[in-house]
Amino acid sequence: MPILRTQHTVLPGFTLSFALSVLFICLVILVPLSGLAIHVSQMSWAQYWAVITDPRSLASFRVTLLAAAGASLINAVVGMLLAWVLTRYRFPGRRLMDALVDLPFALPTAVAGLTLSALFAGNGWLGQWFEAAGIQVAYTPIGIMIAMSFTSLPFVVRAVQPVLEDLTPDVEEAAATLGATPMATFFTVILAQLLPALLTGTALAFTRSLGEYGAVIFIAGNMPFETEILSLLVNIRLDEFDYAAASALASVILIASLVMLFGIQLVQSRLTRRWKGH
Amino acid sequence: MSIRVEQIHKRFGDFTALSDINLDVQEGQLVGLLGPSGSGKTTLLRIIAGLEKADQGRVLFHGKDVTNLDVRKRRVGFVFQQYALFRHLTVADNVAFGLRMLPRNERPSRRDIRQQVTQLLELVQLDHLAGRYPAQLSGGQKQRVALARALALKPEVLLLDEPFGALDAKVRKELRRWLRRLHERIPVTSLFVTHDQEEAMEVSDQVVVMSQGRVEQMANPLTVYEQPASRFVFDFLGHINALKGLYDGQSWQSGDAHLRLTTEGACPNGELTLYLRPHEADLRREPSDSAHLPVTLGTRSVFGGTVTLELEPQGWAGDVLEVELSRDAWEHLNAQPGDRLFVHPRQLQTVTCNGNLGPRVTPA
Amino acid sequence: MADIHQRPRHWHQWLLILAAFAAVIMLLVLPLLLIFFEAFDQGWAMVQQNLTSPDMIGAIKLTLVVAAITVPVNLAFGILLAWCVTRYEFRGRKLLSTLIDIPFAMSPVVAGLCYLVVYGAQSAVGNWFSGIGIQLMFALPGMVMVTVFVTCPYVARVLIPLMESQGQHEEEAAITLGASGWQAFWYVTLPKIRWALLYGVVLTNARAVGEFGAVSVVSGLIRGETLTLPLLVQMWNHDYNTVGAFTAAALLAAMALVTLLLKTVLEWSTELKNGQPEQDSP
Repeated sequence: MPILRTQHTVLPGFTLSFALSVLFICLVILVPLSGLAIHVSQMSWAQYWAVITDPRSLASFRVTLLAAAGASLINAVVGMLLAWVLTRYRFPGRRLMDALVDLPFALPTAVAGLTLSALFAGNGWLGQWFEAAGIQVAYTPIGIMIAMSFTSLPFVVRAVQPVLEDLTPDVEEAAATLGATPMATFFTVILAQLLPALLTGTALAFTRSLGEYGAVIFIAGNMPFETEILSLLVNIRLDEFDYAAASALASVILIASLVMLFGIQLVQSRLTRRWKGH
Repeated sequence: MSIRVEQIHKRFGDFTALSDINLDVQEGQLVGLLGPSGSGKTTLLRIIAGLEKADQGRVLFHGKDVTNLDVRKRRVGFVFQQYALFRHLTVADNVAFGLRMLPRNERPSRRDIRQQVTQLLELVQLDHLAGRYPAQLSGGQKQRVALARALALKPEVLLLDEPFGALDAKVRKELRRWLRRLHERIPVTSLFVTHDQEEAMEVSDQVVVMSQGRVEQMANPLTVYEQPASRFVFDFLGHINALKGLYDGQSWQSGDAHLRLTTEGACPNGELTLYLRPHEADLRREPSDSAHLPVTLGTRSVFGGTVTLELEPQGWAGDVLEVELSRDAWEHLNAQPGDRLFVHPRQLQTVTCNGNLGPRVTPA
Repeated sequence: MADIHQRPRHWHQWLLILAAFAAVIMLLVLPLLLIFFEAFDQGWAMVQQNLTSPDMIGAIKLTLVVAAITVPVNLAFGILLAWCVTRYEFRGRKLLSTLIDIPFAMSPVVAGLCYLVVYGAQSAVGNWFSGIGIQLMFALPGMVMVTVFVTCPYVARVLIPLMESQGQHEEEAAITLGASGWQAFWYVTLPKIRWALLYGVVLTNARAVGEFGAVSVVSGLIRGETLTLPLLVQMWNHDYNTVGAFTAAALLAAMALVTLLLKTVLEWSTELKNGQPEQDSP
């Protein structure tokens, strides 16, 4: 009976664990956040507007958004491919590949940035091939995009994988007995069921990319107006002791990521409710 | 220890789980709480255990108010629906758990604990599995471990939540007979929740039939069956055939079907529904003066000593009827599917248009 | 359940696998190899020299201190929060488990900035602390604080779904058998979640050691004092000490590989545990 499962009354320790959890969340998460909000609210609207519509700020919004969008797209495709191959086929090296997918989560972002910038530099292992093809990667928005897709690659794979594993072959077999071709089965049966997970994973990757800093600054070149991301601009303003401008810019990233976070959670709970039939 | 429940109310949000529940359970009885899912029986059991708090009302053990007493001090043994065995402990450690949790000055010595555990495992016939982990046991074995674990602290009240719910039919039957015998050996006051009528009827001294958070009837199994207190109880205990028609004070009629009934004014004229239990009717090739219920024989299924027949009403509206005959009667009838037959009810339960139970009647 | 992993049969299935390998090699394997390649580019002596330089030793020490404080704090908090959110029904339960995700979604630079604004020298709190002689920002306390912030979701995020799915019947059973809340936690809950707990610790530790953005904002980048390993990577790279930067990076990459190994082993052991599910079905 589902009604009973939600009643948790006998286990002791509620007051203690609740009070300490709330205290911790307040001190560690909410107080710093509200500090930023207060700081920003001390600016007038005109000042705030001036900071965020400054041409350099606008350029950094554009670079950050476009690179994050590109990185998320790459991740949606590559992540889907990896998740599919990892769950569907048995081949030598599968376990290793599965473990390696988490590398971007385990590898410090600064290290990732350092090695990616060397890898894609004009004389780097991969950079030279791109160079030969006339594409410069390091110190361009393409480099930013690659750094972002590196750090957020696991999101899509890890979001899609469990759903793909739960899709038992009988659904596909059912589609096949109903006369669907493998392609049609993939698009109408599999992709349709994967879509929520794929979107969630991509959205998480996008959120992460918006805020990515360590990996990007090594490879970006950090030219104002061209390859300067928003997080870096915040840091530059901080170094200039312009806390007001830094806070205003930070508030934009913060609002964007909070909207993404709550949006993802909302969509997810809607979908699970619909699919589980409650 | 006797259990008394007084005016218990319990709500979950907008949902009334229990309203005005009163119960009296005599010492040493084995009582079945029977009802469909959502009827509140599990909630009631958890309130008696102290796992859930009622919004109103009292629970008394042996006359003593335990409503606000902590679960740990109530001395109840509780057997959970999915057993809730500690999956990281062996069978023996599971059974010993309660003894090991006792305060140091009350805790038996290691040797005593081991001895008691062995005795308990012998009692539930699982001493050979003491070293196994729960995942290595069958459903029935897990159930018996859960029971031994609950009995380890010598509880004065034993509460079982759907004890056989997760088992297959054959194991269920064995296990409930075994529980009945165990209860005869260790007569601790016991309440168990079930949605299976047969189980409740076979095992319990008393049956409490519940529906939508209310107690419909509490009585011994025979009384509940013979004299159901409400239409719900009648409905719930086994399959019934409902015959809908009109009553004019002397006979009941629906299309070509009619029955002569005298109710001595207990049933008003107008709509009257008759409940017919499958085993309370005969089948013949001819109608009688008092009973004319034409049907066509549909499928039959033979199981054990009885034959269950599906009968299609002929010339009157109604659902397919189900009638059970003894093997002998069936062979004597010598009928084939498609044959035209007549149902002769031996006993019928009247249900008046306002939904109340009327008297039980026989066509004459 | 039937194994859905099949041996590839058609050429297009092999093509997919090849594409996956290509992606993994280009995006993951080559960057990883390059770190070690570059670190050892000038020979072993150079590596040794970099490893024993005072800057490096200071950075390693500081990194370990930050991780050693952060991990236990977040371990305790993660358990408390997971217990609170999965064992009780109360208003705001959902909110609590959403709030804990905020650090995941937030840019580390913004996180550092928030801490700077609230606990920095110009703020009331920061002022009060410097009054009693404690400098929070541009010093160890601030670096620990932002690291705690950045890593606080990991343990809770690993535990919450697990404890949710395990339900609380076993704890209830322990209570009916006379166990106190503490005993129920210690003897029943903890053994069930120990692998997940370790998993959470591994993730927390990896992020605590590797955190860059947030720490760089509040560290002040004082050589020999507030440089952690990732900051040293950037500093040396900036100073054109490429081999040095890659040596520090190689240390961190080695830690990342150990993390991956532990993670994989832990995932297997939890899978093995879950691999023998209760046979009963509801």
